[in-house]
Amino acid sequence: MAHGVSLRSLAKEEKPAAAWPTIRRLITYLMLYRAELLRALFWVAFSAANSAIAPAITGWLVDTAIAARNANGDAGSLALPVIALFASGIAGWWSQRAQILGLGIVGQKALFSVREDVFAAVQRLSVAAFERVESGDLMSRLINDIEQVNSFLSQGFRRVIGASIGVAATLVGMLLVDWRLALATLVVVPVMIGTTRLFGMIARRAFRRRQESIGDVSSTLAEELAGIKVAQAFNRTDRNRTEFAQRNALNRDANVTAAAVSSAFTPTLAVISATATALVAGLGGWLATQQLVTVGVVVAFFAYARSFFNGVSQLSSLYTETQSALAGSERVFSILDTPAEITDKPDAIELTHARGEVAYENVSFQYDEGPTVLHDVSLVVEPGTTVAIVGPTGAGKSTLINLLARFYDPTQGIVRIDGHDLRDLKVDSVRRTLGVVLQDPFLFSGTIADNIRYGRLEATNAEVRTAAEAARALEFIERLPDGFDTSIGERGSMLSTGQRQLLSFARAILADPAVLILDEATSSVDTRTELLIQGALRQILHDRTALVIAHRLSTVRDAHRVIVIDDGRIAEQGTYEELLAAGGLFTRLHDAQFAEE
Amino acid sequence: MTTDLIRALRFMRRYRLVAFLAVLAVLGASAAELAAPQLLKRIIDVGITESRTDIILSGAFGLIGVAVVGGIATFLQGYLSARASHGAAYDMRNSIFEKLQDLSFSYHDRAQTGQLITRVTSDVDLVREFVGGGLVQAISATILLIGAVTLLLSMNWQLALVAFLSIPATIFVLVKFVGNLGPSFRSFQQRLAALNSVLQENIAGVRVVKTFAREPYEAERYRAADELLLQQGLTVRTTVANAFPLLFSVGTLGVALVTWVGAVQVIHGDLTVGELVAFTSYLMLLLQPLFIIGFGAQNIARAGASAQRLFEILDAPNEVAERPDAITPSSMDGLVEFRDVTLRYPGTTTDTLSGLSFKVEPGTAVALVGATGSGKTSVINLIPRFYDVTAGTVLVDGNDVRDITLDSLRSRIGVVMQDSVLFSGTVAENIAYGRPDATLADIEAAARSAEAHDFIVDLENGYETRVGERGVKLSGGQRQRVAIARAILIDPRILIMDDSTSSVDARTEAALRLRLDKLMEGRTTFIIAQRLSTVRKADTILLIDDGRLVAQGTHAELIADNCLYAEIAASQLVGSESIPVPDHCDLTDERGEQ
Repeated sequence: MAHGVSLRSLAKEEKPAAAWPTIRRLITYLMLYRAELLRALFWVAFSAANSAIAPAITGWLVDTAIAARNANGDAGSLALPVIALFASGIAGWWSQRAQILGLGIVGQKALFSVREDVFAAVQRLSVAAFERVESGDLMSRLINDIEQVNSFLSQGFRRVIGASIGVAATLVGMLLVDWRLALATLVVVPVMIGTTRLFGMIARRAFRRRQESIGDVSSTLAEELAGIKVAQAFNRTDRNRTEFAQRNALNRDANVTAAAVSSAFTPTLAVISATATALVAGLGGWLATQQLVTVGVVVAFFAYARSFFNGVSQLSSLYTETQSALAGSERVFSILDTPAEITDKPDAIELTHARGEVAYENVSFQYDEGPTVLHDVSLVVEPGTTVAIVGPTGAGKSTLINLLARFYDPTQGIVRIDGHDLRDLKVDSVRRTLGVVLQDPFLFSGTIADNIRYGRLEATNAEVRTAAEAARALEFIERLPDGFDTSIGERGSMLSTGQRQLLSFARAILADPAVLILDEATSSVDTRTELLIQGALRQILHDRTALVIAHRLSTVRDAHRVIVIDDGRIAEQGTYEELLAAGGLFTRLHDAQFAEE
Repeated sequence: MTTDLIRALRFMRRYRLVAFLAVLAVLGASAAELAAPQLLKRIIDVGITESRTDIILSGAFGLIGVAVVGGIATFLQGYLSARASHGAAYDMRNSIFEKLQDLSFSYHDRAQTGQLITRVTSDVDLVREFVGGGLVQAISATILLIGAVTLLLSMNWQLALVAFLSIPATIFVLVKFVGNLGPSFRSFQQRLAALNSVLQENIAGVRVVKTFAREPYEAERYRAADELLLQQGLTVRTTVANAFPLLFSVGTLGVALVTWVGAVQVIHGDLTVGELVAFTSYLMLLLQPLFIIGFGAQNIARAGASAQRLFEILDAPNEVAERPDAITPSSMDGLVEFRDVTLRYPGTTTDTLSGLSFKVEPGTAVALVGATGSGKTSVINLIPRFYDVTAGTVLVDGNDVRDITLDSLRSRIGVVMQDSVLFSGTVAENIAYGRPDATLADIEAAARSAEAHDFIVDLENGYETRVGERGVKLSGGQRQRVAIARAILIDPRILIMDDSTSSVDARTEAALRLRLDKLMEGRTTFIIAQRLSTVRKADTILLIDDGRLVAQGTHAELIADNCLYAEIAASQLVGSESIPVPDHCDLTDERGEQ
């Protein structure tokens, strides 16, 4: 006898903080498809009623047959109950089909709406929101949580509705057919609920251990694979083998324990429901001998008991499943409710044809409640000039750029482009004015051409090629098997960091921005290639504003002006030669890098 | 694919006794299931009809007893098949891990870590479910099917024949409707993954999306993927709605048909009511094994594909295998010689190294200089035999490295690689990686030599501080120094350092260099360095260009008349302010003259 209970679902333990608001919100999504939902609910009720009637029909048939036998009648009297039996079978098929289909469609569509809202929220959130949490963590949480909502809307919610209406209908059916036998059946329900909860608790522990141990196996494996060359170089393979086998054995044992717990669960429920059947058989048999019920009623109750317990055990397992689904939904909704920090003013103006004058006026900045990263920085970059920003790690170089791209707003002071306060401009138009090449260049899955074209979607193939050439990326692209059409795999995994940097460089060149920002953009290309790029850069930077952050001081030699940032303040500024002559922080940085005896 | 599954069965061989007991347990559970309807029949036919309360009572207790016996058997079945199948999975994972540990660098260069992990986790699990759980279930389902058929025929053959009508109907529904589920659901999963990767890229690449103001474009991309997913979601729901109600209805209608024909027999006195009730229960038992086999058969293709992926690893040829007659020299002097060495990596069409010959006397320091991609790292990787040469010979102390056991070769070579991988564990464990039995004093001495002792004692728990995923994050320079200490601790005869101080800050590096100078005494040392001062001190410089040895000599010799060296020294080596370039060289030429 299948109980339809999976212990796996019992083993989840999360609980939502407040169930009702979340449920209401889920219902709002479902109500978007009101007509379909109502139609589906009709079939749910129909199917439940049909299942509740079926055992009674069987009982009727049996009683009719017994009566006919005792009266030496013929099979003709069976016609009505037989027709009813078949009709109920067909109605059961149709209504179940309509129910699964109807609720399934509503669930999928509601889910689609949830997903659209989530993406819109993710897009709306500022960079700041992503940097507060580890993005990998955010991602896996988001995917997991949506998966929870998914499994609830496409499975759980249908089963909750189906099972509760089914149990209710069966109960009504039983009470109508014979209340005494109905009560006898109900006796074991508390035992069943208690058992389910107890197993849930034990299973939770067992399944958590199983989850942890397989996580342990795969993280050990990931680490060993990452370090396999070291392991071979240091002759550690034997020892690693033993260590892996130990973790592997723990995982095996955790699995066997978990399997033992689940294997014990189903038979326990079966014994409880057999007890109910025995009660029905005992009491029903006695009642039948006293002529208080017919044999048909007893037969019908065997079927009732079975479907009733199926329903009850489904519901008890769905309880925990629903809880964790609600917890997941709650978190998804909390992302939807996160307010956007950087938004356009209603009267924000569009920045077009920017000259590229960048100004920081007494800018101070701190991340959240953290320490102040910039102190009262003032700086003007004339259009068409290149300013290099140098300084020790953590001095605040990248923050200057984050403020210019308006990933954050300054805590105090004003950042201006062409004299406009950034906050008075449309964010989109500001960012379109900038071309940014980051230290760890991010590429999208797709082809090389797709990635370069990301800078300007309508660019022709010839323009893409020209940009690649200007970034000195053409040579390696042409050596790839499919040239520009080579697909570059997950986050550019098949390219070296240097090659990815060249691509992101090409992407920025194609965008033809008024202000170019290079954040350690060439740190991973070899020095020869960098020399080549420098040549190209001189050309590209010719009449463009540029901010260049660089570690390698040799890269900043060409800048019109060098700004040295230390501890969030401008420590020195001037040309490369001036700063070297001044003998300050820049000179010290320089000497440390070019240490020579 | 199926052959791979059959091959995978050999992992079950060790657990065949447990698996056999599991099958026995299934038979026990089935026997209990077959007994219950007989008890019901007795209650109805004898107890109720003859008004015998004792029969009714004993029947009721009998039902509970049968459920208990059946329950124990069901439990044993689950437990024993888990023992067998997880035992097999354990062996599979160990075999794969061992194989991966042995496979050479060139295999791991090409392999993707994520993929390998999936194979060890999910693929093993799929194969396990099939050869472990699936096999026990298939065997017992078959036995159950035969048992139910025999029982039905012996009880009432006419009714049995009616009942059998539902068998082809069930098979038809299984093949025609349920069969669509797997592919349809897999396609749903693929589209979900596609959608997630758009989302993932948007989160990971948030800065790029925002700086190029590409939000509308991304939203469109996402919506397209989302709509595809919705469509497939609806298809899956439709397939489910078409399959399962129909499958169960075949059973229900079969029962109705049997009940009808049975009722007619009851009227004619050919059948008792109890027999009819028992008979309809057996009908469900008849269909159950069909469901099991039907659902299980769906997984054959998937499990087969998984098994194939497992054997791909297990069958992968190991390119750097030890010869059976490999020797174990008792000591090593550190004489290294390359004779006409050519190296071509598998899967590439050009030689990475060609015709390389040189000889390095024991105890001398060699610096390798060349442009990025010229083959420096490839040269040093051949010495500990991380790769095998395509042609030519690499000799250590006059022995071809392929004639020496890997253990004895590698245990005398200390390597500091380009990226310093540390393992999760304590700092001390990481330093002692190559010599787990080292004393704390040895570890500290190695750390001092690598100029790492000072920062380590400043860590929260000193040498016992955990690093790696769940521990302290060390800076690039700190990791490199731990990696150097790790190489020093094994007291190697040959020390190889591949760009291994690049992230160490300048002040520490000066101190580290003094330490290293002392360490290098008496050891053959190969250094790929970025700093001129290091190169300048080397006894010999090997100038590599495009996989060839183009010049060999001291810094003074090379700087005097080699244009390529001068150019690389000027552009590549940090600290090259005052390199005098020979007058005849034109540095704008990309390669320089040779």
